[in-house]
Amino acid sequence: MVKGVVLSRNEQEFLLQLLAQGKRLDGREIEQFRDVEIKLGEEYGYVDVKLGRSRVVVRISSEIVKPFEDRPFEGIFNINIELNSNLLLFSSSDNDELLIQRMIEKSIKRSNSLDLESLCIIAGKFCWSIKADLHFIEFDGNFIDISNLAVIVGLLHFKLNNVTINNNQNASGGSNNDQQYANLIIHPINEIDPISLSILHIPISITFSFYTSTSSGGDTGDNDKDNDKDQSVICLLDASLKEEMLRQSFLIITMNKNKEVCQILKNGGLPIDALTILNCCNRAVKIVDELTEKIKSTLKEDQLRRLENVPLDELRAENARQTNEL
Amino acid sequence: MSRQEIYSPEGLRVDGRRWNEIRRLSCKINTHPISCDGSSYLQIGNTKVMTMVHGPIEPKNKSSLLQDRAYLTVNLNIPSFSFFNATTNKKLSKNSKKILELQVSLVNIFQDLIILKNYPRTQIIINTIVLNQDGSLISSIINSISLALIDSGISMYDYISSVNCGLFNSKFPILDLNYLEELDLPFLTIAIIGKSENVSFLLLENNLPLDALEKILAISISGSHRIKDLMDNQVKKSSKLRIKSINEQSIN
Amino acid sequence: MSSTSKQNWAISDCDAHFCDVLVMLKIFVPFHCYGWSSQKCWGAEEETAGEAGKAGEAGEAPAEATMEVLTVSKPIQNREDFDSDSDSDLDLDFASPQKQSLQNSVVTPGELVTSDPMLMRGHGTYSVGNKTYSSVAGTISRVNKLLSVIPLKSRFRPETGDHIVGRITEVGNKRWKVDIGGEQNAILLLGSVNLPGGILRRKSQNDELTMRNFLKEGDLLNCEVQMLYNDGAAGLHTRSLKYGKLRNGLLVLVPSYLIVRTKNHSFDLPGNVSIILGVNGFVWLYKTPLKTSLSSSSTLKNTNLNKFQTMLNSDSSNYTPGSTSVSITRLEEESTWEIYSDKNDPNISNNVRLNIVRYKNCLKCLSHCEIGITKSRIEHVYDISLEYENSGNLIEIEVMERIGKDVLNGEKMRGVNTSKMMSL
Repeated sequence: MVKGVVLSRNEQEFLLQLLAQGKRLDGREIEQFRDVEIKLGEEYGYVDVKLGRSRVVVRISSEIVKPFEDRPFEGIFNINIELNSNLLLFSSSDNDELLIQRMIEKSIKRSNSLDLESLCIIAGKFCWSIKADLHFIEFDGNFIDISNLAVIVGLLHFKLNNVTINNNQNASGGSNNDQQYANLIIHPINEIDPISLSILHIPISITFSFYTSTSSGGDTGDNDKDNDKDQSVICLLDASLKEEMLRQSFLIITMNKNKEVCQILKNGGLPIDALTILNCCNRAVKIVDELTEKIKSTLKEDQLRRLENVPLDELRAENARQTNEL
Repeated sequence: MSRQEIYSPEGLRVDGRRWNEIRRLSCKINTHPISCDGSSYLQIGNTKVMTMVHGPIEPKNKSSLLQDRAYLTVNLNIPSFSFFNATTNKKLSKNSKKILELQVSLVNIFQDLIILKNYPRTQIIINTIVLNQDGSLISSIINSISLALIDSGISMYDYISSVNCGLFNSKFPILDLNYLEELDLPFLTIAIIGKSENVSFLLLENNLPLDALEKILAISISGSHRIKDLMDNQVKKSSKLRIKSINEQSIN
Repeated sequence: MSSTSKQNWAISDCDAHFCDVLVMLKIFVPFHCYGWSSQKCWGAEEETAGEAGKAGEAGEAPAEATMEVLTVSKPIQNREDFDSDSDSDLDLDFASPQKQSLQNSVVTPGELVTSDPMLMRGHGTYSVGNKTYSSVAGTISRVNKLLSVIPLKSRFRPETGDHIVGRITEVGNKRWKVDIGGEQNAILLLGSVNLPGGILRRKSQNDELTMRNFLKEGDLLNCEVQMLYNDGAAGLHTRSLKYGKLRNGLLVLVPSYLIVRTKNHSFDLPGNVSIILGVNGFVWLYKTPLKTSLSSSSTLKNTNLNKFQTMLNSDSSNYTPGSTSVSITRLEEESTWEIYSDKNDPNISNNVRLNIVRYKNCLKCLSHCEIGITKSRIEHVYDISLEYENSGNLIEIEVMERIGKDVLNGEKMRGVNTSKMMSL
């Protein structure tokens, strides 16, 4: 999957032998996720996610456009990925970019995590078009998980401007189409509180990398295939760059907290037993739970932080209630 | 417009099949003996796919030259007349994301299936044309390529067979979906190596509850095995016919 | 809770080269039988216990109701059964282990061929542990201890000494790349061709730069395989008068397995046409050159012998140095620039051209009927084809099949032993 930076034979063998012993290059457990750091920016929709040494920045932006002809009731959601040129050393051709883009689109769009119908303002005329721009700052493996996480956090964080529809109807009341026009008033954020996007569920991607225990990257002999059932397959979570370069196949599972699998992709490579795949899915449940909790807590913290300076007591419109002292 | 039930309470689908029936599969190999090294035509239900394999041949350009093994290229052609509703002006260009993604997946699948190190410094080109789509597009393409590769005499570890399977009402698995069913039900496409349970390719793009995943995997593995048998029968029949006609010339 | 299963087969007619298998599967499982157990899903009777060992799978107990999913055909044999079958087959047929015997059983990729670790694995197989599996669709061949699977179809594989016809695709650094219809292009080194001026002529810097004057892209030549490189590519040479650039003719491509490796591949055919049967399936039909130049090695030998005799018999005083070495002188004479000329003979008559076309159609006929191509068969087909005045009729399918049958019948009548004319 990765070209450009090639590992030497020594490094390859070292890494694979380490894996066979159940250890990883950075000392993690076989199934240990790296630490996830989510930083939310000042503006709504700016997210900086760090996964170990990989770092991704997401910016969500919105504008009002005309919806698609064949989907007048839905808004539009697009994802745009930018791979810096210095990262092109690590990433292969367009295939990688393409794969990431398709993965994220599928996990967020097709699984309906972002409710597109809620983005519609006036059917057939106006709708919100949400754009997610992804920039990779640093890459140390595991593009997909981190991108997915960043985009979904960005969407959860982002808030749309409040919009009022001002319908003006002509007095003559002739043919409706011509005479009726609508005014949209877009309220700036400091005037009216913006509204969050309608996110139905939080899909999280987990990537498993597979290695066979006896493969050493070299020729084990002509016409020999190490595909015996007895051979164990090592299953890594959250591969770093070097581990990614050596993996023989990978499996991407996107799930949400409700134990719904949104997406699975195993793109060829070393064939894996179906039982192993099921086990991976089951293990992913726990990680998805943890990450979802983390996202929620981070967002909550951020929310509280923003409200720190806001004098909530003054903003309350109801009268104070007397406590019954009797 | 009559409301058609995807899966009636009696257990029948729109085309009268049961939940565990695959559609009629018919396949031919050596359909283009002169223009290419291996070819196949596969038809499952109304989905029709044709594949031609060229190779191993001299690489077309220097970038396709690998010193220790063959270079595999897959070209996928899904013309607009193949779509289910041919009246819509659907154009799937060569560079559209869907086709590029599929091509990458197919190269990844077959790179581990073909014994590439037997053919160093050569190129293997697989050209697939989809003539008609009625569901299970990716499965048919994988099956068709598998047959064409076998016909061309390129060394492979085993067959690869593929099928798709969906879930109705979060309870009932439905095997081998056609186009209408694919629109309504969440489904996954799976490709299995030979008669084992090793999954080479697995694609799920809709929401599926985790508990149902086991069922679906199980039934789709069975389905794949069945399809492998059918393909194997066909290859053996054709091969025996050819051997017979060759042997007829040798007079004992 | 029994599940009834009905099986319907529908097999259409087979035509000559391939057949359709239409299989309809219908299985009726009562609705209430949905006790899910993954174990039972695998057409339970067929898998070995090892593979279906799903004891750990979600700790599910096998339900009582079994879903006999998709079991329509005859139960597929266990790997173990097949193993013993194939072994016993091998034992029976190879009672005479010395003879190479071809089994009629067809194996497909992934099929177990044998579990015997004592056999060496040849082409077309791969091994996992002690077991040998086939990697192609083909027939098993066992020669003493070498077990291999010969694929039904494969590209031409060059062997040392093959007389082949090729086309130049590339002019490179002191070498030419030649397309021979194989897996890789063959290599023709500058030092392996006859340059004008005789073999003792030294290759100069100029020669490298003017390689295109000898052979350029698109030229056809006949040559011999001198060696095989590590990766299977062929190294060619044209170091004999019978090899070199081809002129005055037509190239016909036939499947390479129809051409048998024999001693001689160049023949003269009636009608002033000559043929070169390249082992790689490239066949060159051309106008028979005039007999002043020596085109076959046999005539070369004869004249050498005659000359030598005369030399011996003659007076010793007539001895001139170098005159006994006739072949070199000949090469010097013949190796003029003409051997690399691109000009066809201007005097090719219409008759010869029509004959060439007729022979081409005869070859097409033989290749369509998948009959091995030899000189006698070509002549035979030519004789039959003379019935059709317009040689264009020869490429109709019925005509081709008829001619094919005639050829085979004719050989049967004559009692010609045509065993194994195919080299797969």
